Amino acid sequence: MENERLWILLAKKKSNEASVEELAELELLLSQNETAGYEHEVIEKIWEEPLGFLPEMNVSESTWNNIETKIKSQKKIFSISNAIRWMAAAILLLAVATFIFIYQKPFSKNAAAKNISAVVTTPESKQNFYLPDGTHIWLHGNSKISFNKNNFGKAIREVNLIGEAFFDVTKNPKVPFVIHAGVVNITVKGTAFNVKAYPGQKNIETTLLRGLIEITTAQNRNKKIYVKPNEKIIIPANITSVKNQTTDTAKIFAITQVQNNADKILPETAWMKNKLEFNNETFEELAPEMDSWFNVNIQFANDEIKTKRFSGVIEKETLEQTLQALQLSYHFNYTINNNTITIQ
Amino acid sequence: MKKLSVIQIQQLQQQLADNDEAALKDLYDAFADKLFHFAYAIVHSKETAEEIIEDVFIKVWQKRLHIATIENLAVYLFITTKNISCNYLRKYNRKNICLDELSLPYYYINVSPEDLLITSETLQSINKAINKLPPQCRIIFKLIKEDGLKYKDVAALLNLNIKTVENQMGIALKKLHTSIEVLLPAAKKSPLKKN
Repeated sequence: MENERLWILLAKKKSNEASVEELAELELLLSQNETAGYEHEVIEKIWEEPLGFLPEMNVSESTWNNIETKIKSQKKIFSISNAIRWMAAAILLLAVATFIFIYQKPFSKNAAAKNISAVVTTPESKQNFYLPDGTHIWLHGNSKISFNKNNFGKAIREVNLIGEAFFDVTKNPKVPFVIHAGVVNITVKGTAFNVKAYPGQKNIETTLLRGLIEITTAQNRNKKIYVKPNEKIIIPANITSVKNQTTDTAKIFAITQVQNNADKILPETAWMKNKLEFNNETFEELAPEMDSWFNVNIQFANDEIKTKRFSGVIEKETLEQTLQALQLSYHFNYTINNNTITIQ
Repeated sequence: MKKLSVIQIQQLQQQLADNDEAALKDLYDAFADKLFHFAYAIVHSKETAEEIIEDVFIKVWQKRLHIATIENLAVYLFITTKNISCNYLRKYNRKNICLDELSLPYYYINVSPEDLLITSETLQSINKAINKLPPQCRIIFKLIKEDGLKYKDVAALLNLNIKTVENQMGIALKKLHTSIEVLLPAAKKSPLKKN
């Protein structure tokens, strides 16, 4: 037992783990145990010498080459994404400049331009913020909310939306909340809903989660449509060009029921979470989600990998980083050609 | 494989944060073999272990800004290697590292017997003893003596109690001692001295 103590202490001494007390204890043990003197010396010397191993246990040269290649290819992607960032910044500046240019004229007379507040997002950014009345807005990428600071909340709460946003409107029956989105006007009195009105898209979509909203279109203000919770209304964006204004509402507007389970995020509002979560999903199930997340098109050249299951969360990761993370679970190769990713 | 001082490693961490690829290569040169042996011990395949080393250093590069803030990079590298190795194990439905079944390379004291003032017979006996240590004992000895990890780091890395690490190190040295002892019954009283 004592003998074992000696070796434990010697090991601690050589690895600089021994306390002063333990060093003293070791000295004492060594002085009592003269016979161990020589072996102890040899072991102390051995400790200082490096361990060798056979050449076949050297990590092969190709390993470093592979690392270098992967890093080089990542660098390229980084610089491309930087370029995109600059382009986005430039586009944003241009958009703001255009906005000022367009709105300056009509507003300059009553100096209203100064009173316009706007929140603008780039394609990659999302914002959530509160209006002066406490209404909470989540603004999706590439979108804009604007309102007149001076008039907002006096007789009416009016905002303009380009793009997509989720609204959680503070209840105030006396001051109606109205959203102008393209050709559609949405009047609400305390609800939570999503509006999608990107310029260039065929339809304007509104999904209601709570409360009641009333929708009118620009060319027929008397025709009111009510949307109830968990309903989605899709209105063609070019409705102004419909000549026959008496067209049956049902033909123009499509109201659909959306599924809303407490434990499941609606696809309509998933973007608010700002992350893509997947839990034990097959690659085949995951691919369309990644498609819309990264704005790409994932295709499979290998049927086997389709059935492999993955779990994870994507937040700020790039497409490449995500694919590389997936590769850690199952080995596969991929090629990127413009927006098409082929999994092999 | 060169050995880096703590300060050199910290400098490399800074250079990494400044996008210096050469710093990654220096880290690789200093750590790749050690980490490779560790990964190989866990996954039992050289090809897989090499893939793991690639993943480790690519991760270091991707996280280079974060890496600059790490206090003990050596420990971080070993833990990363272990985690990635365990991911590979999981792929084959083997959940945990089995410390009784590690694949460890043959190690020998890389010096001539003359330098240690011992006979080549003694050196052979010592080398034999090192490689006859039980796997868990051997990897602990390797990680502490050769790779310079602290007891607490090895305990965390292998999910062991620090007392176990202490005892295993004691066992290792005792076995080495025995390997010398059996050869040198006469030397005990008059230590061999060369001119």
